[in-house]
Amino acid sequence: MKVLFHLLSWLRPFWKEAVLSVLLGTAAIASGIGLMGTSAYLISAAALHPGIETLQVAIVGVRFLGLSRGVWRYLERLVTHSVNFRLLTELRIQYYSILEEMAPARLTGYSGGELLNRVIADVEVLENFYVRLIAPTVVAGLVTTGVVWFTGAFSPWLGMIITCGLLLSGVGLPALLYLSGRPVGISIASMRETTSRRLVETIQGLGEWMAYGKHEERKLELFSQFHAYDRQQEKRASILATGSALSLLFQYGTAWLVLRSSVDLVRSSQIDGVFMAVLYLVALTAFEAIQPLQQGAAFLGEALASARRLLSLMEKKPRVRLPGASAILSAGSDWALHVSGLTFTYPGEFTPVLSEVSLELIPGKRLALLGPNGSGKSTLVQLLLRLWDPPAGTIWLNGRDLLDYSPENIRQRFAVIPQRITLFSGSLAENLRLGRANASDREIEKAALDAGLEDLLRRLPGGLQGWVGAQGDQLSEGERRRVAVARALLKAGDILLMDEPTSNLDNKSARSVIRTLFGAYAGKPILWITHDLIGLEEMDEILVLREGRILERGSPAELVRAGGWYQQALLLQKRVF
Amino acid sequence: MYLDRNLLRLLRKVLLPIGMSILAGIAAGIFLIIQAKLVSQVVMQVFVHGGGRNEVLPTLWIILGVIVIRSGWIFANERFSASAARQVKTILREQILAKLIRLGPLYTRRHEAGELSAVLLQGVDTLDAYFSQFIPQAILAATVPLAVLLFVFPVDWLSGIILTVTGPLIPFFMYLIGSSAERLTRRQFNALRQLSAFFLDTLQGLQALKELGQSRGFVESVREKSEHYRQTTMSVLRLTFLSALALELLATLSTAIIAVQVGLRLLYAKMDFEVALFLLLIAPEFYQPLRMLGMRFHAAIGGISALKRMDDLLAEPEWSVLSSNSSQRLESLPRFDPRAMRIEFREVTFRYPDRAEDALQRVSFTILPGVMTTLIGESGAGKSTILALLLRFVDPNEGEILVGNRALNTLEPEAWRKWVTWVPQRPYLIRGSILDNLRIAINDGRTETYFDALEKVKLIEWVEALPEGIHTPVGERGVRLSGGQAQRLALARAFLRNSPLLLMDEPTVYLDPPEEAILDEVVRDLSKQRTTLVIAHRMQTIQRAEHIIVLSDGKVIETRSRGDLIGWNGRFTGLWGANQEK
Repeated sequence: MKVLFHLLSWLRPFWKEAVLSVLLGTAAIASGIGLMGTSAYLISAAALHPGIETLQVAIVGVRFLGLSRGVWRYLERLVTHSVNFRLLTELRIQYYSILEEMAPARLTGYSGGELLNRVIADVEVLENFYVRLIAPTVVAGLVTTGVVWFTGAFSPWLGMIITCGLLLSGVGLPALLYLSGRPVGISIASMRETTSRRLVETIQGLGEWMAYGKHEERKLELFSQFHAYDRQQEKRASILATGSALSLLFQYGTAWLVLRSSVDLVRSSQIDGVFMAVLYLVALTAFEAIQPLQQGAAFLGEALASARRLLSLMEKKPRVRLPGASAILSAGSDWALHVSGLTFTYPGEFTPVLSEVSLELIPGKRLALLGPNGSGKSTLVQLLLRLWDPPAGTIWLNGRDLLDYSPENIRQRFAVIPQRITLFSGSLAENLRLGRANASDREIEKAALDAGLEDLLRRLPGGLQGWVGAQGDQLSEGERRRVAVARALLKAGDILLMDEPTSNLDNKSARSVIRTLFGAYAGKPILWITHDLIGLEEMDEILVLREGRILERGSPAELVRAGGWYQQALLLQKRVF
Repeated sequence: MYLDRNLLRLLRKVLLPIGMSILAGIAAGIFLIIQAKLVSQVVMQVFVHGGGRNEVLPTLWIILGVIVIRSGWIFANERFSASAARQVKTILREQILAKLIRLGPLYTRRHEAGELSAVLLQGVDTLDAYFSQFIPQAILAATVPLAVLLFVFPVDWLSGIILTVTGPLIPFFMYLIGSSAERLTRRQFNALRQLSAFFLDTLQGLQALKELGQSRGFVESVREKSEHYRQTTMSVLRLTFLSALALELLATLSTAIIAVQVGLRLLYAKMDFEVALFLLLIAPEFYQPLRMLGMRFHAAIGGISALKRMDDLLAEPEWSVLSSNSSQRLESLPRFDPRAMRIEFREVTFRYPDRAEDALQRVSFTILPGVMTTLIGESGAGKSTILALLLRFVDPNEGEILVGNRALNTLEPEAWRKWVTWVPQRPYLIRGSILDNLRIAINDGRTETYFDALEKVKLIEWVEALPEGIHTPVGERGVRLSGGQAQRLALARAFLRNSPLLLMDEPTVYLDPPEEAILDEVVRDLSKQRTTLVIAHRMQTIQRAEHIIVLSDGKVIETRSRGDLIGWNGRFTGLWGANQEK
């Protein structure tokens, strides 16, 4: 119930449109009922051979109703779609805001892609809840009331028959379908999930399956899963077929009861025989309002499940401590960053990604964090940006605990080149402007050129205004890297964090990109995270991180002399390809 | 019009249920007409002739019977379609999966597994609406109106003509909706998809937006784009819905026209009341199935676009050996002496069906038994293709590969693969425990066997330190493996497999001296007594090899047995030198 109330509350901003659409929908169905009723009256009255004048009103009525029904329906469709779009926007913003607050710390426990796909699917379901659930229910309610009132005026007995019929068909049948369909629906969903997982596993590992001679076995196993899955779907279709048959039975059964009762009522002159056909047809056509409810029943479970998921997302408690924000970073200040004894374990994992890490970063110092993949380097960036919260008292910024600053404040002052670079479907300029929202076109162009994007500017139709493709798929990996570099140049933050800024670039380009960045951030603290040794000679200090621990530290020359990990890595780097 | 060839072929396999469904549909139509006829009789009796309950009661009971039986026909109509839908869907899924396996790993590696799986599962699912809703409705729409006409013409030809003229206009308007408006809707649909894509992008990029300190402001962006979309779409919909309006008007107006003209003729006693009422009862039923068809068409349209994707997939050119050789009789493999694994490539040419250039061009070399051979070359030189050929994921277009003295393509692929172990660059780990991942190699080993293998790849201590030991799940919800550990797990599979030929693709990416030292040792241990072919990236591996093959652009440019590398003045030395400068 709470869920339903919540769903309704999203309609509030545009309730007028919603009411209008319901009224139009009611008018359309009422016209349909009116058309058949009036037509029946016209014929019955004509059978008594009165003068043409007595029929005039009925004739005009039939013509008018014949016309108006389509018009109401047309208007109703327009208004309903508009409501739907608004609802969709509202839903997207809701989801976005929730996820924005949560990402990424509170999104663990969901695997990344799974959550997003579910959100997208949920939005698709929920955007229809008004059209398929709310509007038809209200319309059915209004139409039922009207029809019962009309027929009840002839005889309360008839009114009762029709009420029962409509309720049976509009509430009983959907409930029956919902209850009998639910277990099947649940088992279909879980079968789909397991089959899908098996399938992805089979496709991704196809090479291995074939090499180990297991692919035939997998194939047959999946075949039998398909078989079971489709059987289950057939079962669902069978329930729906039963629904169709029952729906027809209730509709015509009700009309039949009305007809049967009216025989006696006419005979006993309680109602005029002229209305016998009218009542039969009104009863029959009233069911038009009920039919969408039966389709809605299947949908209800889905919509409620989606809504419940959304609500549970909303109710998750924030894990990032929100602004106690007693400290504020202002632009252009000198920075001193201390990390001392930092140990961090992702929730639900066994081993810490970082243990006992200490480092110091002061203006003008270039610090490199070097280590193989999975050594915990990128986690440090996430902690510094408060995408995850570090344990209290481990990261200090200008003498205050990092947790004293608000996450927004921190992110505004850090310039970051992340390891995974994200581009958005839009123009190149829009994507670069994410570095600094108010950057002028000229500044953007300069940053793009400084980052070495001149080839892209030439190649992309429309240059800076050119479309970068869905998720930036028109750009090569190297170009994406350069986009991130340009963003960092535009940002002009007070500290530079770069996570593998030169991967996918050749040696020469890598060196020139690094030179540009060092130039732009001269005199500011720079933290360079890398698994590659190119260019590290120029760093003030190198920390070698392995399995979350600092293995060795010192200037490049010292490390070579020490003959440890760094020295060996230098030798190993001499690869052939 | 919305049937494609493959679907028609599939439909032929389910002729029986489809035929039953059609028969049920026709029967439902006929019963509907009988019912209208009887109802008008009853009303006539009571209203015009002043009859009482006793006179009409038998007819009333018959009407009830007709209604019940008609529900039965409707059930049968949908039920048989559902059965046809199930069979078609299962067949289609099996076709697609079999096709994917025939296309082989070289194909699937280049495609998103999630997308392929979605085509097979959700894509085929969307056909459900097509079969279980659209097809039965199409049957009703084709039969019921015809049956109605058949009964209307004998009683009143004028109304018959009105129905005959307006009836076909409905499919015509539907065609209009289906063509001109569909183009508009499709464009709009694309805009909608772009909007969804933007939304998805935004969600996926949330972390990036946060890193850039821009995530809050994006709400406005979402709102703006959605609002813009709403406005443009509404202006299009105003037009699109016009054809639906015409459709609706046609049905209601014709009913109104019939009602009025029948009423007037009745007034002037040119018609019986019973006939008039029959016509009024039957007129909406004439249009009803046609209108429903339009509604269900929308449900089916998703299936039609999914069908297109399936057809494309099923039409992908195949290069796999399984299909090309299935007709040939394959010899069974005699027992090989591991040391007899002398493999010779003779003038082997291979080209991917969707590429213009040859991946391998007249390549000849020999892999010597019992020792390690390395394969080196830039990316795209054809190294992986050679492994794929040896695994018989594909067969050469020209030339042949000899194992001992028999041609590789005369061996049954699966029997052959039992002799081969493959360690890919990025081994595939299934979602499951460490043990599950080892079981891929052999299913029924005793626990000690698996521990033994872990011991050999020096993972045993690590595994034993895990909270659930060998049963600890790997991946997102368990323990994360570094690249080196994953590789060692794959090597453990290779130990379990224990086959005479080892094919290995060395990873390029990581740089961690201790890890590399362990790997070196493990690989050395594994390659003992075996014929080994390694795609090598590291100097150490190359130095250890007995035999070196250098590939470039699909050609062998040098082969060398172990010698003094420094004194060797070939192309390889050049590459090696260039790399030293880095």
